[in-house]
Amino acid sequence: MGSSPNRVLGTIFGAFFVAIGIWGFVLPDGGAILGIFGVNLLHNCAHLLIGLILAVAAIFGGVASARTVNTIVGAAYLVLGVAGLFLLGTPVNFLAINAPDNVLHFASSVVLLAVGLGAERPKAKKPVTR
Amino acid sequence: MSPILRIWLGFAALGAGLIHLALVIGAPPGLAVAFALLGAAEFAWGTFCFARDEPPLQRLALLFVLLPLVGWIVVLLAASALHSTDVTAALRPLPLVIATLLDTVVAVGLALRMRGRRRAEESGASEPEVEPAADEHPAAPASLASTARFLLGVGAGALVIAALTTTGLSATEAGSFPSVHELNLPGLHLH
Repeated sequence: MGSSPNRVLGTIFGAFFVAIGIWGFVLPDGGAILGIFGVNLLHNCAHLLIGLILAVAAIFGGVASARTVNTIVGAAYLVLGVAGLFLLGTPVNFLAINAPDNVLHFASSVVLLAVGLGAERPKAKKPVTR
Repeated sequence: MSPILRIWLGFAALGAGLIHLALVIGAPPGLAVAFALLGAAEFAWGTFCFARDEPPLQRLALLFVLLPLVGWIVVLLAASALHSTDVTAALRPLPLVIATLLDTVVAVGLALRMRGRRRAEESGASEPEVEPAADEHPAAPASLASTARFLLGVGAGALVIAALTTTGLSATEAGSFPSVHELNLPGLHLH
């Protein structure tokens, strides 16, 4: 596992998201993670779920599953990072996203996508020559 | 091209894309469409950079990333000549400078890559093999050291780009929103 970038990254990010998901639940009402990152009940649940999916795929799955999950979660965070820019200050901001959240979502997405898409890619099959 | 360098180019394009997309908010309609198209194109190109052995559409991309540099200076000059305060207010200097810096990094990276390849072709020498590192097929397992090097390289690039992009975003309307606690949104209960 230690030699697979996708599995190592999935484990690290999985543990990180589970940790901040739990942290969000123990915050006092109206609190923010590190006093910066806005969260709410739904946001905490999403962190927990995403963290578990990343960690399970990385630890119990193979390279292919870790790679797929990293790519999908990275793409989802990229969409959320961009959508978050337009959600700020609107009533449909049901995840309580704020500007620092957007930066964190974007940073997570690019790292997950870079490793998911860029590392351990299956080689293209060469055409059979006769 | 080294996988780390290719990924860094992708990061730079994605960072510039995010800043351009953030500038859509509060921009006049014409400018908003231009920023949205530019941001979306940078996003797509950056993502393809991760997934390919070589950055895609290198010549076109080289021209395209230099377009904002020329474009926003021309628009700024035209707006000041026409006394259009809407446009000058939408062209915030700090985010545009940072997005241009990121685009310039992409341009320099691409130019160096294209020159290196041209020289190799002229001399008839084959390109040096990239070290079979962590981006290779799982059938050829990478060592722990190369995996750590790869992830540290990706992490370092992401940190630099995140720092630059954050600085750029903070000067946009999207980044200047109050914190979620100050918004007092209906039906929003923070925990």
